[in-house]
Amino acid sequence: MDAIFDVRNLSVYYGDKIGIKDVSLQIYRNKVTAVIGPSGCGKSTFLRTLNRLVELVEGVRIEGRVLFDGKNIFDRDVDPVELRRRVGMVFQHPNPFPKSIFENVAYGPKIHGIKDREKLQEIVEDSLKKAALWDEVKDRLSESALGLSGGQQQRLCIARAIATNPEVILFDEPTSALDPIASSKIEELMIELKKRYTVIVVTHNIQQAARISDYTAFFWMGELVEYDRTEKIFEYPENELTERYITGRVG
Amino acid sequence: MKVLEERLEKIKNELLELHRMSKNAVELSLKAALNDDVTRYQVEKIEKQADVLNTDIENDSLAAVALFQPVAKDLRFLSTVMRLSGNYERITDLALKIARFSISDNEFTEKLLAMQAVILEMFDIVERAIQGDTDRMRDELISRDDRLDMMKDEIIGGLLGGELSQENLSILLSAIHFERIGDILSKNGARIIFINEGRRVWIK
Repeated sequence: MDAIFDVRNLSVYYGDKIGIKDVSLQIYRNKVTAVIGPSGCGKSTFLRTLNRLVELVEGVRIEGRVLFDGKNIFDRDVDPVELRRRVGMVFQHPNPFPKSIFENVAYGPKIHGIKDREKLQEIVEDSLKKAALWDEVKDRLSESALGLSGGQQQRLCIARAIATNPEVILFDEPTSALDPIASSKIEELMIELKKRYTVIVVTHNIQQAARISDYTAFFWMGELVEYDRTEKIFEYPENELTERYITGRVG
Repeated sequence: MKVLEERLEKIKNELLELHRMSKNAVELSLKAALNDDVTRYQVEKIEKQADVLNTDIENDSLAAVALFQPVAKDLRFLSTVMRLSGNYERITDLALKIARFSISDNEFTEKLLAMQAVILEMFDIVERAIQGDTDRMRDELISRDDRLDMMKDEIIGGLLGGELSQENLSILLSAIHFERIGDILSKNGARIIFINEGRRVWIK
């Protein structure tokens, strides 16, 4: 199996507090990996470490290594902005810019130096198609993104992440603010996206993890308790704590 | 998840009730076959109750799956319980078939009674397993299932060459049904191991 991320003995501290402790795992290319666990277990910290977004928190300290395509993302010669281009992110609440639909998607490519209007149009159309939003917005690209529904806004944010041509897309509870129909579309989209990208999703919805992911990592109090094929985790978990968590008896 | 746990407990109790019903049907079946109409009526009644309880268990299990989307052991329990329940309903069908035969007390009656006694032991072993004690269950069921096979073969061997009267045919079919009930109980035992341990085993 081809690992895109190889996480080795990763620990993250917020001052004196442990965010995650001695985590080692491999994330596989073109697979959906779900990260589950109760609130405060370190799953979002883990996700935000993969694109070094966690560094923006004051007082944070990181130990261990995260190899991305074989290169440690914490090496001095790694540009975090370029890393975040390659490792895109979609957040819990849809957060479009107060700009047009077109400008939202074109924003990333523009700041990465693409100025040509035709090229930008091509990227916007392609990204919106990949985010399964094109048919719904193609006739109103110049309208404000804030006029879209919550589910459409979230798909717009996915299109925005796709527009910079990433290799990995991180999703931090991407459907928790959406209704079931919009959530279902995002879930289908994540499964579709893995054909081109590696998808890592933090979710509180364990049924969602079971439905969409190939691999599942279960975190508990900052530690990685169990990591395996999703089918295995949800049918025959090795660890009793995993079983108790996914069956709702703890956490 | 207290609500789910309560539902699982209710379904488990229903399954135990069905288990005991089918054991009762088997226990009465041979007595009924020995021309006891009152007992035959009792077996018929049990068979009808078992049909209803089997349907209740299926409905309760499906509702729990739909409402709680269980995983791991809970899902194994609910998906397997529907098959266990169907198997018990099948056992009561077979017991009723035996009960509807007409057999006079003869040299083969003792052999059928011996088969019945082995099956009742198997019921007790499986009941312990449903209540959580699966220690040695597999070995205990295998040895009894093998004994049933041999006992059935002995009965068939004894009947071969003789006149195939209606009564002898009833004895032969009773032996086959008893042996089949033993198979079904063994399968139920294997499925209980699957629920508890998540591994598939064969008891045959």
